Amino acid sequence: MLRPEPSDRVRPRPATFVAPGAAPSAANHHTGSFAGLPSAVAALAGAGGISDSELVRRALAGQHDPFAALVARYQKRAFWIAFHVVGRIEDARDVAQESFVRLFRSLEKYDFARSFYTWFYRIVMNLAIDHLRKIRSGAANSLDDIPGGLADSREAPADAPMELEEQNGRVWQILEKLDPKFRAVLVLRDIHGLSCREIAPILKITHATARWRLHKGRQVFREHWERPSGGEA
Amino acid sequence: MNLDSCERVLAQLDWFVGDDLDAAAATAVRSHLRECVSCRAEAGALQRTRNTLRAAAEAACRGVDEAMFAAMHDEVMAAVRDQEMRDAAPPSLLRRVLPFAAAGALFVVGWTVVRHWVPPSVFDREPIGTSVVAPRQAHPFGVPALPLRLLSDDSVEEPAADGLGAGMMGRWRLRTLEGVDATAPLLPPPVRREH
Repeated sequence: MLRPEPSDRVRPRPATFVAPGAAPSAANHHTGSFAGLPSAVAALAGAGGISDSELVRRALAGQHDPFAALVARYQKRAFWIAFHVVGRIEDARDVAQESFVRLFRSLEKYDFARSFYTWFYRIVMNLAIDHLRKIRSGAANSLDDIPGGLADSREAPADAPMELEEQNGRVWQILEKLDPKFRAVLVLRDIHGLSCREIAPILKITHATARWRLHKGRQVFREHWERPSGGEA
Repeated sequence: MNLDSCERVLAQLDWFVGDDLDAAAATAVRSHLRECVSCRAEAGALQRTRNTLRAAAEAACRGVDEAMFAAMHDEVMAAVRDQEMRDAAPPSLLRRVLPFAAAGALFVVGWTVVRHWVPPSVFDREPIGTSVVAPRQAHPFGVPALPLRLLSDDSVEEPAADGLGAGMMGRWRLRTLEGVDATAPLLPPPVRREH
């Protein structure tokens, strides 16, 4: 029997993915570090008593700091989700930035009865998936003939074992082969720890479809992973 | 080990490893895994694959640090401020004038087209049957111009000397008056009359 998942409204925002190089507490957006930000913005972003909806309400009233606080709260998550979908740092930055601009433009459409992060993640995922599809269609035309491909910035630190570096590289190669719809669910569930019930509204699919895509995505990933390396190309 | 239970557990293994099963189902799967080597191996493979994915996702990336996020925050806010200014700024003179200019141009073009146009009327034609239309000098398809005949002109239907009529009218009269079953004399061959 599958575990009954609570609804968005009562379930606390999941935070299983710990950003590389960040303290574990940084996964929680209310206690994350907001270094380099103005003190007023950092105070708003770190204030656990001020909800996302309240920040949206204040931003709609014309204040700048609440929106800056929203950006501070969500920019890391937006970046990492985009990164795990598109696979490149620069592209992920562009996607994250565009997501916030879209968020700002459509702030008036926010439904206060719904959770903010579901709505915002939907914006990020849509942009990231669109970006990924654009990259793929462009790559088919122009990047195939580049020997060795593009420089990969996802390298492990210099002191990391070579096997680990190769293993990570292979994981990313497999992820790049996955269909965006499977990849999106896999990223949100297995990397970012969202439940299928939370993923469904983000991707605008049913709960059953989210579960099926997750199952299928894991299956395809595993098939590729367990295949000998020579068969990967 | 019971194959049925193995099959049932294997179907749930993906959700078990992903921590998506409720407590009772998870306990049942766990107890099965304690006894079944093959299912345990399968669960281990699933768990390793999942851990590998997470480890790769959490691997450090060059250039991604707090400084990058601080810079990104500044860029985002700058982009948002630009957007805000664009939204708040009144539309440029060109954007304000353009709709009126387009409407004016459309009016002028329309007026030029319809200024000398006279709608056709049925009164411009000759009444039917009152005159012969002048033969056309040239026809686009090369069809010879045929003069219209007056309806009162019964020269075509003029009966022939044998009383049966000529042409189609003669045949019609034959069939109407005598019936198709009647033994009618053979029609004379059509004669081209000289006018």
